[in-house]
Amino acid sequence: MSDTPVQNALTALLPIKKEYVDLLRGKFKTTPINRDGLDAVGTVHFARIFVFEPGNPSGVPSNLAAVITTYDGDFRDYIQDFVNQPGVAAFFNDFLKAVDDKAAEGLDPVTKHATAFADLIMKYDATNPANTWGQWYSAYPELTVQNILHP
Amino acid sequence: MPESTPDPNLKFADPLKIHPEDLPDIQGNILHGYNMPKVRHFVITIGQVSAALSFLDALTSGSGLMSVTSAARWPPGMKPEYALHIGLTAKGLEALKLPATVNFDPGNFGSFLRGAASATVAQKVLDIGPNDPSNWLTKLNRDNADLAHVLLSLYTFTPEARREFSVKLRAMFDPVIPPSGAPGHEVLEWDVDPIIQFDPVTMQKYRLIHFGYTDGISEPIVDEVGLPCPRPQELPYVPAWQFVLRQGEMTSYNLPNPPELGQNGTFSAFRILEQNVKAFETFLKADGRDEAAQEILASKLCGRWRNGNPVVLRPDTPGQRLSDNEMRDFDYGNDTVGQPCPFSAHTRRSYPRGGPLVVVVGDKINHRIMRRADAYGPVYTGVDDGKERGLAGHFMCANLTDQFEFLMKQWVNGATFAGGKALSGIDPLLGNVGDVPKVPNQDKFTYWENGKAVTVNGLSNFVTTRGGLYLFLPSITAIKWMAANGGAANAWKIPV
Repeated sequence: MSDTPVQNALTALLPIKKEYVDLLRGKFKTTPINRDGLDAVGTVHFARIFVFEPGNPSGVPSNLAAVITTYDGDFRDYIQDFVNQPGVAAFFNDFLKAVDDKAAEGLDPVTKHATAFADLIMKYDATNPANTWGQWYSAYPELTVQNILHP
Repeated sequence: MPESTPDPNLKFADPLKIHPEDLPDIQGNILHGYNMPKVRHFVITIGQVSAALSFLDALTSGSGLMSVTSAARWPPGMKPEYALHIGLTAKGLEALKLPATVNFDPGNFGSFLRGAASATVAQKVLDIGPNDPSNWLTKLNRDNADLAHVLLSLYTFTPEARREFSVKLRAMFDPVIPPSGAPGHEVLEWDVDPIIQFDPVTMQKYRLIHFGYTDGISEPIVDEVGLPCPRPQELPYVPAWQFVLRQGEMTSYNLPNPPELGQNGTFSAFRILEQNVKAFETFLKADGRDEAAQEILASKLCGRWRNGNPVVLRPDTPGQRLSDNEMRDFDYGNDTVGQPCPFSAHTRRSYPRGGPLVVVVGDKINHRIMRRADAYGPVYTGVDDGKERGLAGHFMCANLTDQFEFLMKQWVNGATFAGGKALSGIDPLLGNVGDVPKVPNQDKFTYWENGKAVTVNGLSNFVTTRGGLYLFLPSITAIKWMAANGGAANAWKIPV
């Protein structure tokens, strides 16, 4: 068994511009996630994206969007494959308009800015200590999405 | 010099297909390889900017002793005496003092801007351990990489022609290089002498590498106006923008600016890869393997028998050499086990062809590279002669990060290739065996035989990187543009 799982975790909490918070929360509630795009990449185990509710009991600011995923391999290496999927690209082109960070400006179309897009996401993942010194568990540390789908 | 302004007459080319009118503007070795068996690569430093600009002008205006060769079709039976190609490193472009309006988007072309010898790139392509750029040839190593500016690739048919045209080329670039005694004065010359084998059955010539395999069988075919529809088993044509820089919504990059500089160019990872044939043959012969067993193991390591036949189509014995189409046009079907072709076989790692357990959609056309590389050094005769031999040349693509580097990191050396199957290891021929982080059992190679896994121990690093360059291969228009616009007072600087 390998020392480290083949899977990796990402927990990015991105600040959202005030005027976009309700719009984005509503969109996430009403629009199903793009399954085809995520299926096509073939490395994503789980993915969640949402905006925190106002007045949540944890006291998390409601202008934060969470991008939470477990995936195989190197995020930066596969980011181009990810944003090459038209549905994924369209989603993030819209999403980036709402992100309250100057680095998000000019990343549309995200297909042509995959590296900068990865940098932006990783910047907010890096601020989450769970990914640097916290603990996480995998029930199947040697199995990738493809292993599971094609046993 | 005046600052550049975009050419109002420049037309953006079709991002999906090559059109006939594009050919005279694209360097000829990008779209098609040559069967010219005497090759010499020169690496030079720009010491005199004005001389360098004159040199670029002479290479494209017809006023010099030699010219850069375009992709324009040669009349039937009228091959030229030589072909000549030019590539520039980011430091080389900087040395030309191009106008500050030049832009190679660092998000798209960061690796090119950093250079092949940089620590960042070395980590990406696993040029670590013995392959580390600090160990490379003097002209190319990390200490001197900033002075490796221009690569000239000369292709000829005979040793005499190689000598003759080398003299002419030297006469052209001598004024460009720094004076004797100054840093960068030395020119690196690297001869490549493809090993050509004639097959009396197929009546065709084939190129070999020193490990004894037929080489250069399957290259991407860039989509071009007039190509026939692919045959049922044929792999898809690759859109033009993946190998020739184009403007378009679907591209994964912003065209370098100005468009007359970027369009119709491409990038190359130039590599000099030493091959340790003695170690390879010793590995095959270990454990008392007879000749037939050695050939079986050799076929599993590569994914092809040494005659080029894919093990997918000829699982048990090499058989008679298949036709070119049969050797090229196959897939790994639904093979989720790695039998007959192991997941780590070199050809499967280098191009998974959309087989299972690899990242799914698009692998038939994405992350591909165009190889224009051949054997250097004397043919191995079974005697340890202490001489260096290997493979050198260009590995071209429009996006070094998403094509060349992805291939080296995720496919050749990646732990999660083929879903990280426990048996997949890394590429036993090209992988950096022993030095790749987080991949266990790199010294073992496992394949399937009669339904049983066979593990062979003792893999070592059969290939060592001796040098590398990241190059921009400009279009003919771009070479002319650089000649006309270099030497700017407000000059472009590498932004990373």
